[in-house]
Amino acid sequence: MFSLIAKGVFLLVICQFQVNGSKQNGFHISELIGPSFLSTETNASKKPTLLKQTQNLPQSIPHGILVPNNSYLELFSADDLQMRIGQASVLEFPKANEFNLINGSLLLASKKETSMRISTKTGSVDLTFDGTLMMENAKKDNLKFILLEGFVQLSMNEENRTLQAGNLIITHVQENTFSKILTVELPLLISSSKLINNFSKSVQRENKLISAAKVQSLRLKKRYQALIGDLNEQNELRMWALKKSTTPSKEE
Amino acid sequence: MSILYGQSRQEDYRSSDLGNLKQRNNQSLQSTSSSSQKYNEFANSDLGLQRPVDVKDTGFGYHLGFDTKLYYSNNAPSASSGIGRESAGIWENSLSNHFLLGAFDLGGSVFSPIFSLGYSKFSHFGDNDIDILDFDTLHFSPNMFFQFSNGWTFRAGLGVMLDFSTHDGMEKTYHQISPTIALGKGFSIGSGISTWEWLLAYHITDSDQILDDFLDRFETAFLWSFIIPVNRLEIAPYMRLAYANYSNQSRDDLIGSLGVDLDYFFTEWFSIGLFSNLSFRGSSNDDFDFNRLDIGGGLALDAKF
Repeated sequence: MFSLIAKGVFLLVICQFQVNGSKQNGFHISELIGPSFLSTETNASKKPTLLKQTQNLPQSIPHGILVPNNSYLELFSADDLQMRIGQASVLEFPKANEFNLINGSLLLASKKETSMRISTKTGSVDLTFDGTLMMENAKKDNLKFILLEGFVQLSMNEENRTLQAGNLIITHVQENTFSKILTVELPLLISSSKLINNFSKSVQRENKLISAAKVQSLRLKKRYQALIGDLNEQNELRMWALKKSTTPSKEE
Repeated sequence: MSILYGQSRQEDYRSSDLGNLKQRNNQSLQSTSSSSQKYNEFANSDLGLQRPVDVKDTGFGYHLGFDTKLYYSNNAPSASSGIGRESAGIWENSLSNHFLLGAFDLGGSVFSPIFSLGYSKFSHFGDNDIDILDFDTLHFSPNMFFQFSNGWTFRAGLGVMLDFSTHDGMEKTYHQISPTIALGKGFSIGSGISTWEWLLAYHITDSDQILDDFLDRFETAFLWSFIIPVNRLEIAPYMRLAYANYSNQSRDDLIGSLGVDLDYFFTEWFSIGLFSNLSFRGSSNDDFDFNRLDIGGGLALDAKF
């Protein structure tokens, strides 16, 4: 069930747990697609336990969640923070309002202004947001953020970046630097995102997601014939050139 | 019954609603169409496909269009019967301007004010004196357009249309001011985009009838269009059904228009097309009944800024 890599990463999560007396803000599982696993301080030396549908996550922290390949998990906090975890993800809850994204991807949607810290093995970024955003642990523990709607402010080493709907940024957490802000096509992103579409229910702010996409369409100046990929070895975003279709649609 | 009489009677059913509906919905629904799914093979990340774009700060935009059409009409004056019913060739040239005055996210809905300005020239040929039907039309309309995330749309606007007789020194023969509200919905069916709209309008008119405001009327209309793209070809059947109640005469009309457009896009900005349109009116006053078939083709140039 686990790939060898996932096993290794999960062991790392267990080893990183430290004694901490604070409590997490009551997450419960609202959707479970495929098996996912929980590891807590109390079972750190044991095998991780299989998560069950509608189960509450433990209040005590730290604990960690492993979502293997082809699995997805949706959590809701007591104050309506929606969290969707993508496949091959490892997420640690080390402190209240802090999440350690060791691997994989995450979608967050909040109905009110929310502040939290997102960490990787090499650093962290603080975010304050009211909206829907996605993030991914890109290569070398850099975090890729995309704001879908609403607003988000990212803070790192006393430097801030505010994103608008459709903005993409890479936070190089080890060097405490931000990449240039790019804008990606929201209708394409929304229609192809598994974090949005692979679940039985809609994202909780779906109507705002769609209106942000419509506004972007009306404001659109140019689409580039490219797709953004991962980071390369030099921490630069890789671009995939799109071959122009021989039968272009009107919108290209 | 004179040809001129027929001409004056067609003023109160012409409508640019259908063209505007297709134009608006082609723009507004692009964002939600499923065409982007063709890039699915690149989708490795759970985040989704990330295509870089350039976006304007406010969304001010300008759309300039030019259409020229050449067609045959079996009843160019839209007359009911008799001597007034004349077939003719018609050459129609239209210049349209749409100013998008911004696009604003209201958090679940989108607000975009649009100002449209257009000029059309209708030239008739094929029979002696048929060119007496020639006229030009100037129309402009400010509209407030709201789009909701579930596909519903609402618009409120004011349409102004003025007709001029090209044979009488461009004398104004008719004008119409139409406050309008409309509710619509658009949705995708396969690769096609279907849209309907229900509108309410009151037309305040000034015409060369016995009374200036003889054609003042309340109108409610249902419009439907379906745009089916097949590679570079676009097939677009449409329908418009309207009921009109005249304020200054005892008259009720049921007006219909059914048609299909076939457009072939050589580029984003250049297309050629064929079209057919059947229009008809059934009135409580039989003198105003008519049916009319128009068949022809044309070309269109479009530029967006």
